[in-house]
Amino acid sequence: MPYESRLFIKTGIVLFAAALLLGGLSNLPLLGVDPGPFFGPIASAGPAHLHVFMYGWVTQVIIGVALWLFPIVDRDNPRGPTWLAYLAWVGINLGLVARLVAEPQATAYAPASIWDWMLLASAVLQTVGGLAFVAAIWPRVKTRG
Amino acid sequence: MPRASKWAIRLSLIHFAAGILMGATMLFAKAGVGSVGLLNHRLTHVHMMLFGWLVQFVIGVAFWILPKFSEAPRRGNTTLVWASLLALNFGALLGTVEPWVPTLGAAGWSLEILACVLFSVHLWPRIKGFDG
Repeated sequence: MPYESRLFIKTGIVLFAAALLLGGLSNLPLLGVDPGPFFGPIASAGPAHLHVFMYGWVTQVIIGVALWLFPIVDRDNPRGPTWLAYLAWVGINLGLVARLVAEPQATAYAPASIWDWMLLASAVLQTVGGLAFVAAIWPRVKTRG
Repeated sequence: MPRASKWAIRLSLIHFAAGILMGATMLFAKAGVGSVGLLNHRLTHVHMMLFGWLVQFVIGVAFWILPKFSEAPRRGNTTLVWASLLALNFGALLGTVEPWVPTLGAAGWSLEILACVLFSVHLWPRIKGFDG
């Protein structure tokens, strides 16, 4: 399995565990337990939690396996430009971390804050990451020959 | 990979790119850039990403990778697969307008469900051991 695939799949597994933990933390108030000033806002950020599951875990495992198993581009350069794969990894993961931190704090209804800027950066990073994967895998979606 | 898989995966990547851009505009709106009304378009994003990208990508890879039959047609009834892809993509497209026209959104969901049923009917006999 190529290194970039291992990177995506292992990161996906880590984020799966993180998403499960966030889910657990978000349910603590139901048990009358305060998750605290740090985990509280993060655990309550529903969309951020959902995206850690769907983008952080599911999509990254898909990306890792696709980069490994899809038909080669050509014999000289089987997986095409690997820098696109690394750009995808950086964009997706940095974007998700920034989202987890910023989304609970940012609001469209208040003057711009550092959290709004972080959320904007998260949006750009996640977009660049996803589009880098599309660019990396597109030439490998082909029939034989 | 077979032609149906190539179509499914390429279409799924297009939905993925479009869904990501849609999601980015929503996140921008959450940060105060752009119309706050964009936050009401969550269902558009869901249809693009869940059915257009994820389910369709899985269909494409499953049709390609799962065990084949020993006799032709090696991958079973491909008409069901093409019908499934048509239903899925039309369904996802209709689903993207759900925030504005809920009845079209309902039609979209129905087509997406039909697509999943059609593909499941195709796939079921291919889930077998090597001695099958």
